[in-house]
Amino acid sequence: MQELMNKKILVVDDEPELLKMIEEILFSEGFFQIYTAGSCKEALETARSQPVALFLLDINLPDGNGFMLYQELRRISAAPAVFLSARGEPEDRLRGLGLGADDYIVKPFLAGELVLRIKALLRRTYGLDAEEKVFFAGARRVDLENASVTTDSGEIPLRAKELILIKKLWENRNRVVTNDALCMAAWGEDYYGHENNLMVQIRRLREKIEEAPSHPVHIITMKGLGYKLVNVNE
Amino acid sequence: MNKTVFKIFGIFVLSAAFISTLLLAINAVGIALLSSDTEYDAEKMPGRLLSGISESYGSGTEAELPEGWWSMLIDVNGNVVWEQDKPADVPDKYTINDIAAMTRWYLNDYPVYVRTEDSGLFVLGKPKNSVGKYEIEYSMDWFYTLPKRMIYVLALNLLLAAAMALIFGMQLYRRLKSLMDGINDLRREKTVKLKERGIFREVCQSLNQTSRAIERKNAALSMRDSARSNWVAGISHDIRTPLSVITVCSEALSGNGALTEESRKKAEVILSNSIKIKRLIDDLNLISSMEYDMQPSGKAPVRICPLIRRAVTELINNGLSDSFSVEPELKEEKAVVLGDEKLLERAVFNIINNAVSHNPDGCRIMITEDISENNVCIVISDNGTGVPDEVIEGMTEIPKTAHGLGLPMAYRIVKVHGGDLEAYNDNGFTVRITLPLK
Repeated sequence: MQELMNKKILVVDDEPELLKMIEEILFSEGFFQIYTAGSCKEALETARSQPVALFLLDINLPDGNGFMLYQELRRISAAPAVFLSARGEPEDRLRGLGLGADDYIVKPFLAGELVLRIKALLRRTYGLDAEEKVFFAGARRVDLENASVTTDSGEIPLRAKELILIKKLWENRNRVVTNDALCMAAWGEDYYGHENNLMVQIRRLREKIEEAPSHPVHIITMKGLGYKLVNVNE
Repeated sequence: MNKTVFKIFGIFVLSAAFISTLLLAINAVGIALLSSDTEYDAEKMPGRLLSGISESYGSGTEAELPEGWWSMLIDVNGNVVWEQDKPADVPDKYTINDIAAMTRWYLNDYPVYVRTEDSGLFVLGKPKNSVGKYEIEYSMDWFYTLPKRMIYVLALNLLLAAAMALIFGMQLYRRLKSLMDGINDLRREKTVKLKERGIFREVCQSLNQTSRAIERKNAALSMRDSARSNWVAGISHDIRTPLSVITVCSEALSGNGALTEESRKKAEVILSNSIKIKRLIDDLNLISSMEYDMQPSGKAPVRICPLIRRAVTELINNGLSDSFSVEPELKEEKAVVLGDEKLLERAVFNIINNAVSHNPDGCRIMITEDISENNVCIVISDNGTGVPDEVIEGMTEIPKTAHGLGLPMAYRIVKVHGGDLEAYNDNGFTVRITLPLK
């Protein structure tokens, strides 16, 4: 966790207000080594002097554009990069991703989404585990690292698929996760036909996490859509 | 296309053949009329005159002969026993040989006609060089087959005329065909550059000029289109940046525990409205680029059910009020269409989002999906207040305001995918999308 927050992030945008806002968002999430730059020149200077772990790049910059900057940065650093641009045209998106960028976010964005994507990218790149490895569903303690649920009466182990599913739900807590996204996480791209398996796995998860599995209060069914993990705390 | 040219060509050849034949017939009649000798009136026919002469001889009177004509009677011994106006160079005595040589022909260059009677041989003479006599002799077969041969000749003429028309027509055909090709190219908006010669020179010139004019117009149009498209993209860019600041600020405010509940609620209103603006800009951009080039960039097999679930989930996860309930009832998980996943998802999202924005007090939104024949049918209906008829009618056109882009865009996306979209009010608003299965 601390390891994740230690990462240095460089945000490049020509809009000072937005730069400040992004800095605040990341800071409030726990990141404390945030660098900002308003131009390509500044960005390159920072990148040369600091071991930046992730670049967040605007495309329209006063002394060039984000695509060019990205290519310059690649000579200095291999850190992942995310384009954060007001240019939402498919060509721009394709160009950004085609250059090798790891993500492309179109402005305006929700702070939560930005943070989720940055954290996911950092974890993926640097092999870090999920942020919180433990959470509470009511009185039950779910330990994602040890794949177990602790209740008053003892510890119940989580099976492999159950662990994948609860991780996915936890990462997207309070949001609906579609059956498709859950199936894909558990069974891969070719998940078609696993819908019934998903129901079975969710029932098992409920038996382990819920006090009353037939009246779930944590893993809520969104009829026809998927599931939502609610009422859980770190 | 060639059909038309062939038709024109066929009519041309047939009419040429018809005209030639008609001309032939007219000629035949004309020649017949012109060749009739007006001098040969009935009174001057040699046969009639001869019988007149024979009667006059019998009655001892003088026969009435035209000027310069003469006559005589030769008895069985070859002597001229009677004569009227006989020229001096016509002999008075004839041998049988003389008679045989002169009968039907000439006597000392006088054209003569004869008539045999009991009293002898009546001879009627005309002035020298007044008549030409020719002998016509053909086999009887020739005469019998004459009508048949005349028909052959006529038919041959017809064929010949058609053949000639065909040869000359080929020339016309080629010119016509190149003209036709030119017009067809014009229709397909291809460049037309015909050789400006021959009988259609002026038409070719006009076609070439029209083609150039269309090209200039198209170039101007496409320049204007791309300018407009770029303009929309530019404006969108300029709006998105400050909008990000608004979004992020209002999001921060709405989650700020130090603020009163009321202030946080207001911040949420700002947030949800800035998200609305974001979607409007996205739609505006998409619709502008789709107007410019209607083809989706990448078509791939798309599973419909996950797409519907994603669209609904996006709406719910972006803070859908509790006064709305969305109930997908998807029957056929295996439904797959060929298309652009992002566009199709946008279409479905827009329609669901429409239901939300048209019913601020909340409503129930039902989404069903099923397969019928070779189509997948998605029905999105709500039990809300319905939409004004002009919204439904205007769905096929570009909306005049950015408000309400959702339905026209969904309509276009579905159409681009070879499907159909129907919208109607029925205890709420219903949209039915039909897409061909892969």
